[in-house]
This record gives sequence, structure tokens and C-alpha cells, in this order.
Amino acid sequence: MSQHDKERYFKVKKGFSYLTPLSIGIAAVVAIPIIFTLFSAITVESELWKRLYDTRLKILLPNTIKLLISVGILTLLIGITTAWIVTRYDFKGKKIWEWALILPLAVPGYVLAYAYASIMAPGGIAQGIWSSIFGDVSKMPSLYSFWGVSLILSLVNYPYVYLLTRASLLNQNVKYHEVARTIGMPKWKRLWLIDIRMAYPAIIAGLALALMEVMADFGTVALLRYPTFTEAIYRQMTARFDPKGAAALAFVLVAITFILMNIERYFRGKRSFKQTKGSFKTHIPKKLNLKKTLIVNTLIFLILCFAFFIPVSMLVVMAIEGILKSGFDKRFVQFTLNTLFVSAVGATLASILAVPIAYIHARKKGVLNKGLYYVSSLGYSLPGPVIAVGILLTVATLFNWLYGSILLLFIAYVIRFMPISLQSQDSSISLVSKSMEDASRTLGAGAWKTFKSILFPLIRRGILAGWVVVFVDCMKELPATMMLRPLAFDTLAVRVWMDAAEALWEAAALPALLIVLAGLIPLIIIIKKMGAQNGIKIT
Amino acid sequence: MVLRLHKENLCIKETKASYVLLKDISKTFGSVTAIHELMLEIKKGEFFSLLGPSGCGKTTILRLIAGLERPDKGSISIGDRVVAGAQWVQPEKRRIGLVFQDYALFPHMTVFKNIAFGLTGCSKNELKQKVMELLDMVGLTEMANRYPHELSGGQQQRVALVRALAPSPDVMLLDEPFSNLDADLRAELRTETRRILKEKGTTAILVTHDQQEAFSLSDRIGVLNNGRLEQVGTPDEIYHRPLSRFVADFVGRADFVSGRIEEGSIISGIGVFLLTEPLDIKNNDVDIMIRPDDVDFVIDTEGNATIIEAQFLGPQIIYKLLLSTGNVIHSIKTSSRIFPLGSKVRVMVDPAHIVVFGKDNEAQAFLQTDLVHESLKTKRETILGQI
Repeated sequence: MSQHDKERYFKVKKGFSYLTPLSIGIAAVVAIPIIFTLFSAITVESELWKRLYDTRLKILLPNTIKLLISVGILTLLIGITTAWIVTRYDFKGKKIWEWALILPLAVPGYVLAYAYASIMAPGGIAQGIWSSIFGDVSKMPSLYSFWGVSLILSLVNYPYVYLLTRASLLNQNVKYHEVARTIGMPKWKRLWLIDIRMAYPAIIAGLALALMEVMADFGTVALLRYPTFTEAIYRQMTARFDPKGAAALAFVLVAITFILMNIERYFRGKRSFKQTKGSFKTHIPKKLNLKKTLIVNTLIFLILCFAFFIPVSMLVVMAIEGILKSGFDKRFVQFTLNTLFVSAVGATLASILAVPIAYIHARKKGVLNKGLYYVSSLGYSLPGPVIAVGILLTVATLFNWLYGSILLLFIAYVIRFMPISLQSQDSSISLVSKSMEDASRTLGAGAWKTFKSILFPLIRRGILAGWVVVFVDCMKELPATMMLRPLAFDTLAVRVWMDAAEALWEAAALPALLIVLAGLIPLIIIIKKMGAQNGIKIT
Repeated sequence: MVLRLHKENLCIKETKASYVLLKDISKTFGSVTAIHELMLEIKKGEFFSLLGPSGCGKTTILRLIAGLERPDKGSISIGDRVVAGAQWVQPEKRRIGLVFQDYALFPHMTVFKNIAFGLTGCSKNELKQKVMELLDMVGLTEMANRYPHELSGGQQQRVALVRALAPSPDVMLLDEPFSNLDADLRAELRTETRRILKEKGTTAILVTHDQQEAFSLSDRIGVLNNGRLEQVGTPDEIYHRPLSRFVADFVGRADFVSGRIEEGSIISGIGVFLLTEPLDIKNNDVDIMIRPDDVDFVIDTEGNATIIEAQFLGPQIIYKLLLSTGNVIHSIKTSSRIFPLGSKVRVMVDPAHIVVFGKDNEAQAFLQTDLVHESLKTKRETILGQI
């Protein structure tokens, strides 16, 4: 048997591809902590369930549902109105507002909450204004309330509704409107029955995304002392050292999130109703007169003032004040380096591990290949505290020696954010014709060379885009980082939260500002996509 | 150079008559059977076409030969080497070239780099010379530094062809390579492709759903239907001696006229045909297949057919004729003279290409050599009365 034959024999025996077993291994990393959480929750005795219900769930469930409803209504209101204005009307300033409206996505909820907490703090700007107008400061509405939390979370999350609704409205065929006009339908009816009804799937999908963020939010509710599941899980795990109770609460949280996720999934499948093919004409935006232009500009400006300009300016002011007052905090460099390090490792791991799973999902058929992708995508709908609980339970049972290792943080980031890499890589790979790879193989290149010199260069941008988004999400991530970081290992997000919680407003400003700046990077990718929807190329 | 040594190795054994051999190949995708126990033999240096409607499995056969799919059953050999079955040879080791329907040119590489991709083990100078030689063959030397998206469809197709040719493959596989081109360019590139492949003596397998393409290019054609080979033969055989109704229908227009065997003759609405030998057939009711180019007619007020439709094609007209027996047949005539609709005509059939199909057994056909046309008017009339 010649060397060549041996090699060939070996390959036959070993099978065609290592990708599937490799992907199973990666999916297992995601699945095991989830399974551990589920298992712990299932084995919880009914007595504990009862106690949890009396002490926790009785408060948490109505709190969460109330929050979901109020944030839902507010995000729909802001998201649909703004999307409607920028797609159906033409006015001065539209070009800027169109993309500026997504700026709040760069601000994590806890940063916005912290900024407003400082603004409305005793002796702060807000109290000054209030007392000069109304006098009695004690009557000023408090941020630390249901409405405070609702407003903050709505301002942070309305862009999801805005983005998806806008895309759907842009793609609507004007023909339906023309038909409706010819049969004499009044304007408000056309708006409701055609535009909104046809954008329905997109609106619901956007709403579900926003509400999933609300479910996953930890920083805002914890900072504003509004008890919800994430905060309760965190407390159960870190303050009471009760992993069973934490797992049980996580189980309930995940159940609610899964309902939301499946609503989104269901509507994403048919994000837009099938529109007639052939002659496709989009709406020509109606030009607004001066008065209306003024009204529309003011409205959007006010929304963005509250969601972005005021809090971010406040951060800038506080950061400068802080430096002027007590000098530059040298620890800040270390926090930044820590953050960049864990985020870079997290994003790189997520990007690399996603490749085989995204590849087999895009290229191969079969339930197993699709299932691995689904399992590996679960993490995105799991709030950070849930993932942290899962990892801690797994470590406690199987890998006790790993306790306190930074590796746990990386695993959490991979579980939570690899779905982003997966999605971006999956769509990039799907865009590359399979015949490219086939051509390379028939031209004598092996599987590895084909990946290296054909597929990789063609999907590099997709991998990179995914990397950037994951990197920034890791920077912003708060609860899992808090629960899993090694002792005294502080990141920017952790500093913002801890300083804000202790009302050290100025100390938190610089880290918060840096997080917002980093958060602006992935928005460039979204804006580019928005440009493509408009038919404008931004390069 | 590794490449040439390898080539010489293979060249020693090139006396074998069958070059690509598929034995009992089956392939299913999920619950769909794409290929069913297929046997196929392709000779060295031959230009072979797999012809069939879309979804018949022809591209799957190509991908099986290339090693891009694994057969569920059966074996494939190329030359004297088994590549699937007893052992598995990776596509990159099979020495085959594949031209894709979408060309699959690498968008991030120049034309030069695309062609050079498959050329390994050459020195830089050799590489440059080889690529330029190939580009010269298709008249694209000036396009070497362009990117694929800067080329026209025809140029892309040419690059795809020479890229596949570059590593001197033993077998060239062509997957509907002309389907994305407009008609004029298609004809030109077909001729060019055949010339180049014949010059190199490369065994070629073309997949197409276009019978014209298969006829004009191939030495032999295999007609596929539902994952089974219906017939393998020369273009002439496929067209004039179809072994099944499917083949008859698929390769060009075919009309079926009902007839009846009586006393050594077949009696039909288009004439009486004397059989020189008795047919091995159970039922006496048969169908006679006839193609429009073998049907002629003259105006005759006492004729046996009426013109019911005429389709103008430029140089030719296809007439649809209703026979007095109720069957419909078509006739192609030059458009130099146009016959009005409703005219009574007398149909004359050239018996050279008539095929008889039994009613009970579709696949069985009886070839025209056994038949002699009998056009005695008196006899026909008496027999027509009996039908």
C-alpha cells in the first residue's frame, strides 16, 4: 500500500467531514449549562417552589408583566411613529434623523439609568429646574419607580421597532394605496388597514426583540431598584448563595423569554406579507410644508434629546468635572485594558467557534445540522444571569477546579453572543454559491485550501461584522460579567454599575462614556444596511 | 513537475474502451430518489451528453462523477481507478474538470488567478506561459487582469472553460454551461467548446435539457427521465429511433397516430404499412410515431386530412392536420408557399423514420426498417372504412 493509498484509505474510514462532530462539541458547551439549569429547576421540591412563590414570584411576575406591557406600548408608539414619519414624508433634516434615531442602541440601559439618576439626584439639575418652576421638590416624580424604569427601557429599546417597521414600510408597494384610493377609502383607514396591517409582522418582530431585551435587562432594574427576575436571580445567587432557588427563578424567566422568542421567530419567517411581483413601485414620500417640517423635527429632536443627547452630554460633563476635581483615575486604564481583553477574547472565540456550525447550517441538509444551529443560538435569548447560573451550576458539579477562572467569563460570552456570529456568518456563507467551493475542489484544492483561499476571503466581511458586534456586546455585558469575573477583576461595565449604585456619579462617567462610544461602532453596520434598503450606497 | 508525472501514469493505461463507468448507481436525497440503479459507460475521448428535463437527476450524475456527492449504492470508475464504491477518492484527486452553470468564477481573483488556481507545482514562468496559452485559446489574453464581474457572460463562460481545462483533466464535466447565454453566443460557444475539447482529446460529459445542444455537440446522448436512463445512442438514433414514448416526446415534436395490425400490415390514418416480419406484440392496437419533418401533404379536395392550425416560424411553417380518423399530426413545410386553414389535404408520410409503439408496453418500440409503406389508394379506403 503506497503512502497515497494509505491516506485515501484513512480518509474513507474517517468519513467525509470532521465538521459535524466538531459542531456537536461546540453546541454541547452551549447546551450543558442550560441543561444543568433546567435539571436543577426540575428537581426543586414543591416546598421551595411554594416559598419562592410567596417571597419572590408573587412580586416578580406582576412586576415583569407590567413592565412588558408599558415598555411594549411605549416602544410601539415611538417606534412606529418615527418609522412612519421618515418613510412617508420628505422634509429637511430627514436624512440625518433617519439614522440618528437608532443612536439610543449605543447606550446600554444601565448607562441611561445612571445618567438620569445623576441628573435627578438630590441637588442635581432636574431638581433645580423643578424647584424654580413648581417649587416643592418633594413632589417631583421619582426615577426609582415603575414609570422611571418603563421610560428608560423604552427609550433604549424603541429602535428595534423603529428599524424593522421602517424597513417594512419602505418595501411596501404603493399600488395597494392606489387601489384603496380608487375605491374611496379615507386616509386614516388606508393608514390603518394597509400600511400598519402590512407592516404587522415586522412590527411584532421588532416588539418581541425589544421585549426580550427588557426581559434580559439587569442593570437598569437593579440600579433603579425595581425587582424583576434578572435582579432576583442575581441576588439569589450572590447574596443568598442559593443556586437551587436561582435555577428555579431562571427557569421561569427562560419560559417567558421563550414565548417571546418564538413569537419573533414565527413572525420573522414572514416578516412581510407576500407582495405582488412584477411592477413594483415604492411610496414617494410626501413633501412637508414649513410648519409641519418644524413640528416633525421638534418631535424627533425631543425623543433623541431624552434618549441620547441629554444623557450623553451629561456623561461628558461629569467625566470632565471628575477629572478636574480629583484628577485622572489611573485605575481607569486597567479597567479599559481588562474590558478590551475580555471582549476581544470573547468575540474571537465566538467568531471562530461559530464557523463550523454556520457552515454546516448553510451548506448541509439534515435535522442534526439544523438542530445544532438552533441549539447554539439558544444563548441569545437567555438573559446574562441565567447563563451565569447555568455555568456556575455546571462548574460546581463537574469542574470545581475551574471556579473563579476567567475562562468562565469567556464561556458565558460565547454562549450569549455566538448566535450573533452565527447569524452573520450563516448569511454570508449562504450568499456564496456552493459551486465556488465545488469548483475549487474539482480544480484540485483540498477542503482546507478551499476554505482558506475561496470561502474565507468571500465571507471575511461577514465574520468581521459579527466580530465587531460581539466585541461591543461583550463590552456592554453586565450581569454575567459581575457574577463570573475573577476576584477584583473590574471591567468598564462593572465600574459604571458599582459606582452608580453607590452614587459616585463622576467616577462612573468616563467608563460609561467609553461604553457608549464603543456602542456607536456596530451602528455603522446597521446604518450601512439601512442605506442599502434606501438604494443608497454608503461606503 | 508532479502534475505531469501523474498524467503520464494515467496515460499508460488509456487503451481501455470505457473511460468513465457507472455501475448500479443509486442516490437518494431524503425521500426523493434522484438516481436509480444507473449503468453508464462513456468511452475515452467521447463527447457524451446527458439529456433530460429538469429534475431528472442529470446534474446529480455529474456531481457523483466529480465526487461532490457520494452514491448510496454502486461504483464509479474513471480510467482504471475506482473513485466511488470500493474506495472513495476526494474530488480534488479525481483529475476531472467541471464547468458550472453559474461558472463559479472566484469573484475575489483576477481571470489570471482563477485559471492559475488549479495549476500547482509549476514554476512562476511556466504558470504564466500556461495561463496565457489557455487565454489565447479563447481569445481573452487582454482580460488576464480583469475581475470576473468585469467580463461579459460569454467571456465568463470561456474563462470557466479554460480554468477547468488548465490542470489537463482526464474528464471534463459541463453542467449546462451555455444556458445563461443568448442564442447567438450560445451557438458560437458550443462550436468553440467542442473544438477545444476534441483537439485536446478530453473525454467530455455535458448535462443539458436542450436537445438542440445535445444533438449538435455529442457523439452519443443518454436520455434521462426520473433518475433512469431511457436510452443511450447517437443523436441520430435518439431522434429517429426512440425506444420509449418519453424519448420520442422529449427530443423534438412527435405525433402518435393510432393503428391496427391486420394480416401483416399496420393500418392507420396516414397509410397502410406492410410488415416484412411479424411483430412480437400481444395486442393488435398500436401507435405509430411520426415526426413533422417526415410528414408532407398536397392540397386534395378528397384528401384524408384538414389543416386546422398553422404556426409561422419564419423560414418554415408548422401545420396542424386533423386526420379523418380523428388523430392530429403536424407537418413542417417551407414558408415559401402558405396553405390556408381549412384546406382539405392528402397526407404523405416518409416511412423511413416511423416507429411503432405497442399500447400495452410503452417502452417497446419497433423500428422502421421492418416496415414498407403501402400507399394504394383503393386499399386504404377499404381499410379506413374498417377502422
